[in-house]
Amino acid sequence: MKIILFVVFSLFIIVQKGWELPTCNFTTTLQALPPRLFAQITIDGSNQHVLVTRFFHNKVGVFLQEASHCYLDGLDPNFIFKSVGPIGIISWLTFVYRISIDKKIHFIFAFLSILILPFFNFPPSIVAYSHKIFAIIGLIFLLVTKNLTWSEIINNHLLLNSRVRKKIEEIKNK
Amino acid sequence: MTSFLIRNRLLALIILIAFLLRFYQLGQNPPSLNWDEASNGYNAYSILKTARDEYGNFLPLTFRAFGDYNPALSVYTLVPSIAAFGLNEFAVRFPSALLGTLSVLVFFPLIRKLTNNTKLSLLSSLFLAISPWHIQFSRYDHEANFMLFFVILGLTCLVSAFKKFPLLLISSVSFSLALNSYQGAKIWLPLILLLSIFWFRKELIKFGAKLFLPLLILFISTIPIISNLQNSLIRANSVSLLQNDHKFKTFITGYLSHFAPNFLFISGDTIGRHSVSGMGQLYLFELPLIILGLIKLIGTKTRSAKFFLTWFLVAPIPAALATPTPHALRSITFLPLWSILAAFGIGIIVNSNIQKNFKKLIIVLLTLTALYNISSYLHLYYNHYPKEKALDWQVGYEEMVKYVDNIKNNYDTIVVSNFYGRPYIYVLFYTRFNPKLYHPQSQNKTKFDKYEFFGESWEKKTQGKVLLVRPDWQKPDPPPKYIKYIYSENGQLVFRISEE
Repeated sequence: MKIILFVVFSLFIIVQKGWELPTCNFTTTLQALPPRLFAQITIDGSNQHVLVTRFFHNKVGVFLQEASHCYLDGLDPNFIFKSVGPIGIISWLTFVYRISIDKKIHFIFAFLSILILPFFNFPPSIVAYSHKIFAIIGLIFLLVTKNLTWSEIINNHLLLNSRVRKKIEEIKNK
Repeated sequence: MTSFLIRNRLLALIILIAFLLRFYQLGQNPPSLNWDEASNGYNAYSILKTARDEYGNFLPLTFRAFGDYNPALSVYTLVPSIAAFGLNEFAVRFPSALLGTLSVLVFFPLIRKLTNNTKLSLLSSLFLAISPWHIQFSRYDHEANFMLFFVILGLTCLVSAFKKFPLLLISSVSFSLALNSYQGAKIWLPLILLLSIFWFRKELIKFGAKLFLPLLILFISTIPIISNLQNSLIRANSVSLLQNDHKFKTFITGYLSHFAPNFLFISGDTIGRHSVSGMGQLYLFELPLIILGLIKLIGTKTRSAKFFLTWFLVAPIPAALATPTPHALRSITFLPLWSILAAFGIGIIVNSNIQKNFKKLIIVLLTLTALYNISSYLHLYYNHYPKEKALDWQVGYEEMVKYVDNIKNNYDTIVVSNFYGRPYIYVLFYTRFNPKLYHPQSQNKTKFDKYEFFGESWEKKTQGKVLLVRPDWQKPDPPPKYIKYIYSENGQLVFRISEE
């Protein structure tokens, strides 16, 4: 039954489309630097000490901000939702949660590095399809590896108090 | 109170930081009053002088302003402030700044009660004290900030009430005040109350019949809304997604948009009054802390953690039911959660098993980034914000009205363009127009006393000398005799004043 669910949900994740990522890469970041710096320095005005202006408005700072903007575009919940769909977003969150608490370094590294790719002019679809893969791995975590059902997840994480959970564990142990 | 603060020196220091960040140059920055502030201020002035609002209604339970009917609390809160400081910018913003500071104070016992961890509570309060999101809304008069304070106070009293029943009464009064402070509270209050009742049901059920009194208080607090239901819903109808063709899709998109990292950490709300341009709603250094905190919170199986987590998940619902999204003001409901998560994140780093020197390095790097982020924010707020967002704050009205008021006796009629919106309320506010004289003229918003307000264009139809205030782009041909130009902080021409 779980295998069927896994296949159906995976197909559902794969067929999701309609996502789009704004064009934001190394080139656009470099293009944004001069006008942004000019605007910020102009607003600061000539009355302010030049070191203060340089401290707050410099190429490194603006570049990092623009680059962070591009990087975080890949983590926009609406983009992820459109890439993986409603079921996929739950399994995607499970994936992120599980690799974090289980300290699966290789997965964490892959997850964080893929988001950089569009910045270096790789097609943004890489990020969308990676999210699909992460969501499918999340499905494995949810359905196969841990043997957890949806109700167990909801009960364990949200609804049941500790007394009821203990009883369930006792029954399981028996 | 004093002895409590002496015993908690760190908390006192945090409150001092919160106070300074909210009160420094409060009257000057944001650079001018927006029309809602001017309306609330003049209505409070009218209540103070005549016990009636600008329309002459005796002590109303909802205030009519620009076609909306707003909850009354924020206007009544301004009355003592205006009595003490006069009708000016500082007086109008004083209650909001004060409640913003007090939010930090009442937030500390809430977290301590729920987590039994003083350090975590102090850190949460510190993050709230320095939060650019909270500072932004504490520095101007907006009801949402009042609601946030009363919700935090209500929750603090609720979780402290399990052994002291009178605190439950204070809690219900506080929730009642929150309900009557802000339009969005009509959705948020039921949600947070249901959550609280669900997670603390065991303790609450023990009160038995005693619960009747707090429930009665809550019921009474709905009377102002129920008695004026049709008018109370005007605002909701104009912004809600009920008008939208794809309601569910819009709701989901709006809900998720409040978790967008770019909205939270890089660019912030696009509405000029809601954030400082050049940064997000939160500091960038909080991003790793919040991620760590969220992981910790999900992994923690305590009731408090589940309460925080469900609060976190339902908090954007009121904002997602309206458009546009993401909206920093309507999602102020989950502002305290970000502070709690960042504090949890610090806790994880400090208590982690990583190598001592590496841990020190992380803490030093985080501190340096935090200092840079905070100083950048203060620079942007005090130096850039008044110039960049001048028109979002209707800059120019104050100077124009004061100038016109000084010379108005030389003219038969004063005509002001309504291009920048609601000029009548600024004339009332800055001239401190006698409310008793205004009440009989209040229904006509295009004319009162010597003043007339016009839209696209104006033609002289009456005899007499006219003083005309036009926006910068209206240049009649042939040009009239200009006697004054009004500029904004960034040097942009706002008004041309001429004689006709």
